[in-house]
Amino acid sequence: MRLTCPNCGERDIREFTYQGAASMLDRPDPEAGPEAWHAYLHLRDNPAGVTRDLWHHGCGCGAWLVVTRDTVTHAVHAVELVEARDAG
Amino acid sequence: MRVEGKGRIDRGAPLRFTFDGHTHTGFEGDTLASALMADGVRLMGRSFKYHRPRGVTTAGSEEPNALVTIGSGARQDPNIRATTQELYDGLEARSQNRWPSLGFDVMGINDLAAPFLGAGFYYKTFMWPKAFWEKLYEPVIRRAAGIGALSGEAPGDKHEKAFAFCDVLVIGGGAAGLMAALAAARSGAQVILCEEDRACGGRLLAEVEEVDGQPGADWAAALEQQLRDMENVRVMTRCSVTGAYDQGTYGALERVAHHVGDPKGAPVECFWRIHAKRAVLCAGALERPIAFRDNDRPGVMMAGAMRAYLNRWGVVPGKALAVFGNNDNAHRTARDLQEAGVHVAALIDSRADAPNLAGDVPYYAGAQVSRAFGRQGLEAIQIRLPNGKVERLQVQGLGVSGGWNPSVHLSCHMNTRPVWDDGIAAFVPGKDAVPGMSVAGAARGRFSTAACLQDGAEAGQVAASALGFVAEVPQVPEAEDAPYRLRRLWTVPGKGRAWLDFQNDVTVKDVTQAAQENFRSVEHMKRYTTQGMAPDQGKNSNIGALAVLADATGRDIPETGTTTYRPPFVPVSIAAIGAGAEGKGYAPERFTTSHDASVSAKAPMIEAGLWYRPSYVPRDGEKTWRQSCDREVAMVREHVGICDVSTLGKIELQGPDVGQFLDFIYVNGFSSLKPGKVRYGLMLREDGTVMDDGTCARLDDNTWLMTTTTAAAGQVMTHLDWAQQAFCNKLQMRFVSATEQWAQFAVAGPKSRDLLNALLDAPIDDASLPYMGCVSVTVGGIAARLFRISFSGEHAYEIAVPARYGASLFDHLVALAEERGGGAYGMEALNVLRIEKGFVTHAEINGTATAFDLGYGRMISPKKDCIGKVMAARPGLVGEGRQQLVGLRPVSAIKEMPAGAHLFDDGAEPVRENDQGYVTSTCFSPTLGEVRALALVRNGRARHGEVLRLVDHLRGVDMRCEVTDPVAFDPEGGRLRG
Amino acid sequence: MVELKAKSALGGQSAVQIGAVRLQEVEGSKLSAIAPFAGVDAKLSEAMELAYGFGFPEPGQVLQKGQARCVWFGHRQALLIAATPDETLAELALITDQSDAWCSVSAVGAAAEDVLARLCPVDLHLRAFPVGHTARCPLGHINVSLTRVAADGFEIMAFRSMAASLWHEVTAAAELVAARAALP
Repeated sequence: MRLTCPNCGERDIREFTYQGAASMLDRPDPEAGPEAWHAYLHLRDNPAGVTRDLWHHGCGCGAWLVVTRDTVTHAVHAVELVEARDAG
Repeated sequence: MRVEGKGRIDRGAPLRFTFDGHTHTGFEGDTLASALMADGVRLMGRSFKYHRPRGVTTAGSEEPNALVTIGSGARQDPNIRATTQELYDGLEARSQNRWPSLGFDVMGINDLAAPFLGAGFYYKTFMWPKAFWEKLYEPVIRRAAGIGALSGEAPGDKHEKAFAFCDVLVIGGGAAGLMAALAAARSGAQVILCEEDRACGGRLLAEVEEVDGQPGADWAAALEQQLRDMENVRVMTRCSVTGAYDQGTYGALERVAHHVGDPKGAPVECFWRIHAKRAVLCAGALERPIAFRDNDRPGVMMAGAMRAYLNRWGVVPGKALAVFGNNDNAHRTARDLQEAGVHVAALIDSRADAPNLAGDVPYYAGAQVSRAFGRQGLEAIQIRLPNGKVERLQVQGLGVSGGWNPSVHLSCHMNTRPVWDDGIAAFVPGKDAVPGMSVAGAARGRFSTAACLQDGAEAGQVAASALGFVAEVPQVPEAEDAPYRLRRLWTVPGKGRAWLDFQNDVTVKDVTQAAQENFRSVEHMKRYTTQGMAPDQGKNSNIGALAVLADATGRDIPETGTTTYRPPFVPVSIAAIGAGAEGKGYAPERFTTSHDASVSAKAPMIEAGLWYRPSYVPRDGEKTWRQSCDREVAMVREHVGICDVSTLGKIELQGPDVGQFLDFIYVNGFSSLKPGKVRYGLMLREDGTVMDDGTCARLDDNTWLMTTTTAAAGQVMTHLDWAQQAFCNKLQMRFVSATEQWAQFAVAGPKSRDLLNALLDAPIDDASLPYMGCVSVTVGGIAARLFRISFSGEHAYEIAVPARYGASLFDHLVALAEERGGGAYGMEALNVLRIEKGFVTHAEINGTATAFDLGYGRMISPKKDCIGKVMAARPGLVGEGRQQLVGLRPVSAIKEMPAGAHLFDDGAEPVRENDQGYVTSTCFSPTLGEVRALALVRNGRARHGEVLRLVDHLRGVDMRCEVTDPVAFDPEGGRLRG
Repeated sequence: MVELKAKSALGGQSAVQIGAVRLQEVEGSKLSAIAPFAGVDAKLSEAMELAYGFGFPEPGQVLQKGQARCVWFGHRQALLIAATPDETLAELALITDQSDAWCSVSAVGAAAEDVLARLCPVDLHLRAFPVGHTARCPLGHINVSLTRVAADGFEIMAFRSMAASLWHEVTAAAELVAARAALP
C-alpha cells in the first residue's frame, strides 16, 4: 500500500502509522456531556467502502494526515494534512 | 542422453557436479535437471506422501517433482527445483524424502498401503486418543511425509533486500514481454523487465522457430541486449515477480548467486520491492497434464518440457519416446524429436479428426494413453485405440499435453477471480484485475508467437501512453502463427491411480471421493485432499482437479470456480524477505555519549527501548549486582552520584503561545510558570488514563523545555504533533526534539552542589538556583543548562551540554564525584532511589492507571481544559473501586515481594475473584534496610496500615505485607531542598 | 577551569571505500532547526531572504547561497546549515541549535544510488531525486534526512545516538553491492 503524503509525495506504507478514525478531529466541547464524549472516543463505524482515517507520517515528515480510502477496493481517494483544517 | 547438434549449451565448458554422491558432468548452460537427464538419470525424487519414485516433469519453476537439496551445513538449501538450478562446477545436490536411498526407499511401503491412505485418511484415523495427536501421530506423519529439510544451522549465505521504481514494469521476458518492454522503453519511460530465467526469450528458448528470419532464441538475445543498452531500461534476469500488491507495489525474488559455487560475499538472493506506475503481465502459460493410470512414472513429462530439453539443452529422457496430447501444439514435440533424429515411437492425439503435423512418425489419432509401466522409470505405455483395443509400446519417455493454462496468478493477487475462456478451456485474467496492470501474450491466452509479439507491443505502448509518454507500437517481426486447436481431455478413464497433483500425491479418485463426501466447494476439496498446496501451489494440477471436481459434482468449470491465488508465485525464503533485519539490522542501537565510558568500566548494559544504559557500575571486590547497586544507592544518599539521563526525551518549544499549548497538554497549569523555573507535569490520553510524566522548564520568556520518560519519548512527540496539528494550529508556537542535541547528566546527592561548584565557571548557591529552578551556566567556556530537579529525593541537579562534549563532561563529573566519595550509578540504583521515594515510572503508568489512581488527581486544574480531562472525571475512573498507588513493606518471615505478584485480603483465597491489585515495582532498599515495593491496590489510599496477603504463583511466593504510603523515605522532602 | 573536549558522532571513524562508493563522516557545520509559527510563512521567507539570500524551502527542497544552506527537514520545518541564526527570525519561528543532534555521513561514487536503494524505500533515480533534492525517509529502521549533493553523491543525516547503526547499515549494504558487482 502506498500513500501520497502532501509533503513528501508517494511513499510506502512502512513510513506511516495508522492512528484511528478521522472522527477524532471532531473533539466535543468539554461541556458536551458523557454521551457525546463516549461517542467521540469509543463508537466507530466499520464501513465496507469509503472510510476516512488518520495516519501519521512518522518515518517521513511527521505530518498527521487524513486519508480517504476504500476498504473494499483498497483505492486511496485523498490524503490531506490534518493541519490544513480550520481549527483553533 | 544428449542429442548431437541440439541445444544452446557450451559443450566446450564441462562442469562437474554430484547427485547423491555420484559424480556427473554437464555443460555450461545446463540446469541440474538437464544435466541429470543427459546422464540418463530419470529418478530424481520421492513423492510427498506415498514416496513414489518421481522424475522431472517440467522445465521451469512450476516443477512439482524434481526437488533437491543443494549444499550442506550452513549453506544447505532444500526444495530447490532441479529444473531452475543452473549448473556450476562443484555443485552438490541430494535427493529428498527418501531413506536410506533414492533407489530403495523404506517409506515406499506407504505406496502399498495406498488404498487406506486416500483423501481424509489422517483426519479420520488419528482422531483418538486426542493426546496422541501432538505427541505421536503428528511427529511420525511429519517425518514420513515431507520434503527437504533445513540444516538447523544459521544461514551461511547473505541475503539482501532492495527497492526499485519504474514507470512500466514488464513481468516476464518472453516474446510478449520483450516487445512490451521495447514499446515502453522507446517512449522514454523508465522500464524494468523481470525475467525468471537466466536469459530472456521464454518459450523461444525452447522452440524451433524463427522470428524476423532468425532463430527465435537469437532474436530474443539481440533484443535483450538492445534493451540492456538503453539508459532507461533495467533488465533483471533470474528475477521472479512473486506478488502484486496495493498501489502498484510488486514483490520480486532475484536469485543473484545461486548459479555460482562461491558467492564470495555477494547475496545469494535479493528480495525486491518494486513500485511501478503501470505493469504489463507477460508471464506466459504453463502446460497441464492429462491424468491416466500411473502417469507419474519418471520419464513421463510435459510435451513442452520434453521439447525444451531437446531444443534448449540437447537432452532426451531415453532412446524411444512418445507424445500424447489433445492439441496441435503437442505435435511440435514429436516433430522436433523426429527432425533431431530421435526415435519417436508414437504420437497419440485424443482428437480423432486431427491431422498429423509431426511428419514421419507413427500417428494414433483418436487414441489415448491409458497406462504407464515401469516403477523407477518409464518402460512402456499402453495405448487405447479408438476401437477400444489396447496396444503396448516400449518407450522411456512420454511427453504429455493437456493444453496450456495462462499464468494468471499475479492478476489474481488483489482478489479478482480469473474468468473461464471456453475457446482454450482455461482461465484467463479478469478485466482490470489489478489496478494499473494489463496482461499480454500467452498469459491471457494469445498462444502463437506472432500473437504474443503483437499483443506485447500494443500493451507496452498503452502502458507508456497512459503515463503521458509519446509511445508507438513498434514494428512487430514476422513469426509463427499456427493455431492451437484443443479439444479438452482431463483424464483417461480406467482402473488404478491416475495422478493429478504430483507434488501432493492427489489422484482423480481422491478428488471424486472428496466430492462424494460432500467437500464440493473447491476450497473444501483443496483442504481435504491437499491438492494445490505445497511449493508448486497446484500450478500443474489445479485446472485438472477442478475439471474432475466439476464433473463429479455435475457442474461446469466456471461454476465450480478456482481456489484463491495468493502470493508468492514461487517460494521465497524467509531469509530473503527478512534480509537486512537480522543481527544488528533488526533494530538500530542508540548510544549515549557516556556509552564507551560505561563499557570501559565493565558496566553491564541493558536495553531501554533502543537505548543502552548501564545496569550498574561494578567496583573491585563486588561479586553480585546487588552489592554494586546497594553501594551506588548509599553513594547518592550520602555523597554524590552521576547518571546519564540523556535518554529522557527533551522537546524544546518556542513562541508566545507555548504556555497556552502546555495548558492543553498537561493536566496542571503551565502558562503561569516563570522563566527560570521548572514544574512537574502530568499528561493524559484523551481517554483519561495517564500517558506520561516529566518536568517542563521555562528557560526564558520564549523558550520552554519539556522532558519525557525514556520509554514514552516517541509517543509524546507524536502526541504533541497531533495536538498541535489537529487542535492548536493557530497558536504562535512550534517545537522540535532536542533529545539528541544535549548530553544530560544527573548529579545527585548531598555533595552535588559542591561538585558542581568545582566544575562550573561560576559557582551557584540556593539563591541563584533554588529547588525546581533552571539557569544557563558555562563549563570551561561551553554554554550549558543546569536544572535543579531530582528523581532520587536528594539535593540534585541535571546538567546538559551539547552532545559533542558529553563524553568529556561525563569523565569530569565521575572524577569529581569519586573525589567526594561518590561515582557513577546505573539503572538498578536509579530504580531503588525512586522506589524509596514513591516516584512513578511506566511500571506504574501502565496504560490503565489514571491521575486519580496515582494520587495526582488534585493536579488536574479546574480552571482550564486539557486532553483527557473530561474522561478522567468519568465514573469508573475515580473512586474506591480503583486500584491506587501504595507502598508495601513485608511483615512476615518471607521478605520477598516480587513485581507482578498479586495481593489479596489477609486470609483470602489467592484466586482471581479475590484479587486486590498487584506489585508494580520492588527493590531491596539499602537506605531502609528492607524490601520495599510499590503496588496498585483497590482503594489503596484508605488502606494504609492494613496487612495483605501477597502471592506470586509463578515464583512460589506467599507472604504478608503492610500497605504504606508510597513515599518510604524522607516524606517531608527536606533532603531535596537541603 | 575544566576543559571539555569535543567528539564527533562517529568519534573519528575514518573514511572507507567499498567497491564504487566512498563513505565518510561529515563534521562541523552549524545546524539550526527553523519552524515557522502559524500564518507567518511568507514573512519568514522574506526575512530569511534578507538575511541569507534564500527563503524557507518547499518540501523536498534545498536552498543554498555560498556556504549557507537551508534543507527542508519535515512538516513545516527546515534545517539551516552553516549559517548563524538571524535575530530577526525569532519573532516568526522556532530557531534552535541542532549542531550536535545529527550525525552526517556522505556516500559518494557510482554505486551510491545502488547502495541506498538497499536501504531507503524512495525513488533515488536522478530524474526523481535530482541534485538539491532532499527527503525524510527511513534507512533500514533509522529515520534519516537524505539529500542528493551530486549526481553520484548523497548526504545522510540520522540521530547522533544512532551514528554507529547508520554506519553499520550503510557499510553492510555497500559490501553486498560491491560483492555482487564482482559476480560472473
